[in-house]
Amino acid sequence: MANLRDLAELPEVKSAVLSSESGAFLESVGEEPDGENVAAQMGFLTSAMAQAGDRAGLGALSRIAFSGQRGACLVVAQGDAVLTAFVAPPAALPMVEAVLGASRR
Amino acid sequence: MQTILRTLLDVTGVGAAIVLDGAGHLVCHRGRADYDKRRCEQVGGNLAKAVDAVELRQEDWETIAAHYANGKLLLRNLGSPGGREHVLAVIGDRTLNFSLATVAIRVAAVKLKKALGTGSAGLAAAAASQTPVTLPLPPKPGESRVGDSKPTLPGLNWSQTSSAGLSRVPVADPASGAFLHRSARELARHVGPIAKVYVEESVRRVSPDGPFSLPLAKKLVEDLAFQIEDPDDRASFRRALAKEV
Repeated sequence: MANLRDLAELPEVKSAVLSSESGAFLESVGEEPDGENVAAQMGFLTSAMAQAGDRAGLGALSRIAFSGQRGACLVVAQGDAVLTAFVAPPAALPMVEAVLGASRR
Repeated sequence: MQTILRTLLDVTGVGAAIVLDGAGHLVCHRGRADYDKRRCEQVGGNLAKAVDAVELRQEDWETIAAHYANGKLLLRNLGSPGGREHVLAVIGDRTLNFSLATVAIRVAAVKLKKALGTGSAGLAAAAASQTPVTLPLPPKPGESRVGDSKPTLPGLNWSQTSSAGLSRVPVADPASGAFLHRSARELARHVGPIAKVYVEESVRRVSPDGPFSLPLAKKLVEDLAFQIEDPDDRASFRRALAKEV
């Protein structure tokens, strides 16, 4: 799993939260005021997406990215841990994904 | 709507395309033999929960991409045409070209919004025509199909990938338009034909309330640079346009 603090050093990452697969909050960095809420929501999101992928025959979930006009979010699932990074501007999402991908290799 | 979804299945690696309403019910679907209606409904139910979770964080979400060991699930928010929320979902296997699929989905979303906006008659017709379609399986790696080298997508002309689509972007003056064309051309060196789509999106971000003008050029270049993953390529792109910003 990528180091939470290394990730937070990217200026495009506004905050990041580390949580468990079941939605338990572990650690946060940056401007995130409500890490516990993020952990629960992303736990629910990864669970629903994992089930969707399972039914579609796509295998294990590795990451989810969602974006809008004002910001984007990257959720990386690895083992029992879930790493969530909030990114702005949203156009920086591919770059953050590339950094995370490189750190996982 | 069936015709629009059928276009998505023409993209290599796409197994199914689904339109869901806000409650996760299947409005319309099109899939290869192994993605029948029942299976798509099951996937749709899970996707509706996922969308609910995303909306808790970002109500104005536009896209969701989930990456799996053997493929991807790509979602596009269709908004509320006709007064009800809708989502387009595409299931892709390992052979899916992410950038190409993204463009195809974007094009399909525009058409679906129009189709859904026509009202309940369109939805009823879509529901009535829920007939699964069996298509040829995608080619195995190493194989090729006739026409694969130049995929055809509605709204995109691969023989004119320079900047043809930019004519839709509002600009303050001809010089601003020329700058957008040069930006798309430079960006295309690094990201390919999707460059003009990125430029259109970037203009919407840096100039949301009016036509694009040259004083915003620097902001546009910085925004576009994020689309280039390789740091050296990113620097090269910035250098190429530096003297104009």
